[in-house]
Amino acid sequence: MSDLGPVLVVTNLDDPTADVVISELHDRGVPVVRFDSGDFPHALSVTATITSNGVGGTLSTPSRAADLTQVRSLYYRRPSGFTFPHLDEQDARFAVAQARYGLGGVLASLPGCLYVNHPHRIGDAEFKPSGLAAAAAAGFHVPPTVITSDPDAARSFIKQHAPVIYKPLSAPLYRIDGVSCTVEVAEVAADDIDEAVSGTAHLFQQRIEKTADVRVTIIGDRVFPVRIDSDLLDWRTDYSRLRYSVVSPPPGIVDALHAYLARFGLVFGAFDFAIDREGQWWFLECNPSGQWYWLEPETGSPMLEAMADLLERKPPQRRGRGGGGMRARRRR
Amino acid sequence: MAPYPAMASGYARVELDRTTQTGRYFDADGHVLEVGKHGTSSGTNPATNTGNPSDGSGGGGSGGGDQDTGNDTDQ
Repeated sequence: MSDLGPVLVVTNLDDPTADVVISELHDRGVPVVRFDSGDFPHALSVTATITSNGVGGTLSTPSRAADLTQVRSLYYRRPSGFTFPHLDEQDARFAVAQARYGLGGVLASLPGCLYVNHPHRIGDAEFKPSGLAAAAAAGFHVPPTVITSDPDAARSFIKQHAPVIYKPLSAPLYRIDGVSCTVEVAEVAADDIDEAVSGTAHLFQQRIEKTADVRVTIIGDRVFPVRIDSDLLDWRTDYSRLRYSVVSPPPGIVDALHAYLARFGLVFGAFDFAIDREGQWWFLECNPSGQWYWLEPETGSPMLEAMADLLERKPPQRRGRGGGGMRARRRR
Repeated sequence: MAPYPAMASGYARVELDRTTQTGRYFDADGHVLEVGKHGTSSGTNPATNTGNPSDGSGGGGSGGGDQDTGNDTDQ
């Protein structure tokens, strides 16, 4: 890696979080090359050579160029995805696959680059069953969960573990009359289960009788735990009803957070927990690409500084400390 | 299925500022909007991709190219 090379930021144009991170890096004199996969190939080009000496070449945008051997870090945010609207469906599918495995493959193979996070590791961590399994292995309390396409299995799970909620395993684009829609997380009774469950995979999970939620954002080795009080089952449905406070995790949680991220090879994670009446933290999920910046003005925690430090690859002893944000113990 | 919570975009157009590499937001009249006037990334419902799907990275197992809303559902 290079101390002087650029930070690559991969995201779509409308990304206010990327904007604040890029501005902070700009103020620090750290060069940034920003691009979106949707810009390829008309406004984004790459020529990579791979020889016995490794990977070399250049990535270019209309405003910047990056030497692929000198990339300091890559901030993987929210790219819009490859599109080839001028091609028919079959040719477009071929072109997208070539772009994904070509440009995407090069971006996933940069020598010495720190990935925040590596896109393939993000992909691994976005599978809910993998996340729950990793959480259990890391030592978190995990709500009993079943993944099934068998209506009888779903009913018996609900009877055994009620109250139970249904959650989609993934949230693909689903438009009704042009409006993006999702399945609302809601409680499910055994009587609600019908043969439709046999149509595909479903995830049912015991509902934790929670007193509050916690979002823990890990940025490199810094841990930002924030308690979220609301009267909502899913706090993400109405941000105006949330109250935030910085909390200290119970013993063992910080080590488990790092064990979880290490298992997937991630350096950033947005973890969600439910706190029950006994104060126990229950793992709900970890989003490897979760939003986080809105919590800085709500809590005063120096999250932007932590993210810029990480992407800049600033050595720990030279970092500024604005207060707040737990420093994790290094695990070996 | 239900719509995502409404998130007003508050801008008409966004382009990349070549110098700062940040987004420049414009209203319907073509005026530049001040920072913060076009919304913040709090909710996770931009109709964009995260991670695995059609992001230029290759699939971490699914090999899919599905567009993803980037939203999470949770308890």
